[in-house]
Amino acid sequence: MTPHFDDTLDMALERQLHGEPTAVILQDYSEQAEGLTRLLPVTAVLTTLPPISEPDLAAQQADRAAFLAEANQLLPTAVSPGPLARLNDWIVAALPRFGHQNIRQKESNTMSSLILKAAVALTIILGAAGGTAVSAAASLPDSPVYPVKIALEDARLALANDPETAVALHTDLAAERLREMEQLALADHVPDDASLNRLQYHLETALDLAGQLPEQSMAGALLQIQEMVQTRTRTMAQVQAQAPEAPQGALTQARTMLQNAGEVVAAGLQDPQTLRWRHTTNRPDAAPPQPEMTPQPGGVVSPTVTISTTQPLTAPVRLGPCATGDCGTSQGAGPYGPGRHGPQPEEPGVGPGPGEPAATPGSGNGQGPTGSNNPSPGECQGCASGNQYGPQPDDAGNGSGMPGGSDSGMPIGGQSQNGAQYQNPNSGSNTSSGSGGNH
Amino acid sequence: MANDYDALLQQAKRGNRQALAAIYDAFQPPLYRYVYRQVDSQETARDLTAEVFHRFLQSLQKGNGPDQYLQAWLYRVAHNTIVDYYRRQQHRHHLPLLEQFVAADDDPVHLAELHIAADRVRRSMRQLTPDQQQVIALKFFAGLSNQEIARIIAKPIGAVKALQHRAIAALQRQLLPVEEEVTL
Repeated sequence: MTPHFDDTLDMALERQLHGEPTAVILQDYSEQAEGLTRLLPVTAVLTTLPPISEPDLAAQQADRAAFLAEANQLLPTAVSPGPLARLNDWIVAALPRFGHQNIRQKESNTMSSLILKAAVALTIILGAAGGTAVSAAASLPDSPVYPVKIALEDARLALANDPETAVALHTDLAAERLREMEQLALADHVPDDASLNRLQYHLETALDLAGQLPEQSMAGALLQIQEMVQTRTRTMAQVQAQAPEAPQGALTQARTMLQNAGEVVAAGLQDPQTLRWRHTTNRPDAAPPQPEMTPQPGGVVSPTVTISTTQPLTAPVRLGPCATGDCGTSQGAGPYGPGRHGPQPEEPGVGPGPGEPAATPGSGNGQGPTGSNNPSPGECQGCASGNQYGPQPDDAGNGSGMPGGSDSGMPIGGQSQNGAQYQNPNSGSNTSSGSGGNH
Repeated sequence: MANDYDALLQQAKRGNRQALAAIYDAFQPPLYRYVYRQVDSQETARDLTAEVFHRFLQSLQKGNGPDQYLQAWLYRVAHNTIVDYYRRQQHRHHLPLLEQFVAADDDPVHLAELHIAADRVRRSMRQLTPDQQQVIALKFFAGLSNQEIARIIAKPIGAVKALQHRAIAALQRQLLPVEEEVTL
């Protein structure tokens, strides 16, 4: 039975699109060759057009930035879902990690069912805690449930599985810290240093990660940070005008941080290459490729954006981690936040060190000083941060979570060779349990 | 893949900037190529592609954007944008040179031949019905499958094949002189 000519033509076109010569195609459809002989040369014209000339990179970036800027204009709100929706997202995001991907593919129905059951179970378990979580979401630093809020934020950071998400999250959390300070100030409460530290941590991490994004993404991330900085700066000015005297000092410090962050963003938008360079210097040429989890595949020893709390940002980016050695401590921050991202070394304290190709990506729990070839605790403390994701050229052994810090004495955390590694100010200090041993 | 885009779409509808950026990164290049083949210049293609994303943002703002099949929605908007463009252009009596042909060869004689051929291709395309134009453009310029095209034009696959047949037959009648020039 001769197929319908529409079908024959379609099959012939498919073959033509895959590069088969017309003569060969016609041989296979001899009964309908006449019609095909008439039509295929026409489509050959359509399929042999020369390659399209793409806009240059600058034009592409400009178009992308324009789109994101318009998005910021048209969709100014609803940056993130509410606390319950976020909780749901975390559960959904976390659950698949328990199942192997192949298993999930092969047994998707079963796994879906299991996931559903697990979600229900978690919902029941978390039911009691849910009320606490919700109330914690709106709590202020002087609230008893505030640590729950911080813990939930840390969980979100730990689940951020790509740099752009992490930048957005840190930007949101910086804004949240500012909102808390504003509310405290208006109630005549003085925001504490921990709040300022957290603000600084989120701002610096967001900037550092943004500086390591691919070019097409960097502008969008910087615009997002810029929008937050501008919005919060305006609000902060209004709050300062209304707030009593006592919290003014802390508010001024916060505004200075915002101003400095704004300067870094403006400089980055104007000269992305310089910002990138500041985040990608010092990586030895021989350094091995980095795993996908890293913010900047093929990344390098990343310098730290340092935002002073007390003075304008004259030298916004410190080249090289902990150049002075006078750094804080690291606490095993993950690639995009304080949590553990990606596979971790199996056992604390034995995380493979530099030069070991089998090093597992991710910031682990390796307790460096116990390993061999560790630098002594006094050596370059702060150069190391955690998590260098795999083999590094300098054999520093089973590196520990080495201290990192800022020029201003604020805890910043160290840096990895391919991504910003920060100490989470929430997770304490003066411990060296943070890095995966991959110095 | 479609589910991935649907998930992104849901996040974008909540204002998630990363989702918006991901959607742009995924669809801007193919949409640009799709538009470029049907207009006369790189700048126009950039403008019309930007217009597609502008309409996308506007639809999100108004809450009436797509709920699923984002790809189909975007290509549909791209098609409408091109139609609008040509509607605006119909009172202008010029047919600019297709850049892809200009860039293809430095020989002036060959350039002139390609110029003529390109003009005729575009003129011929404009003689097709809107559905026929869309099917040809989606198939040959965007490289989409029959199933994707069917979703975009909201017709069964059989109808896509029939439209394709009629469009190519119409082009054959229009393009015969061009065929002689281009295919040597």
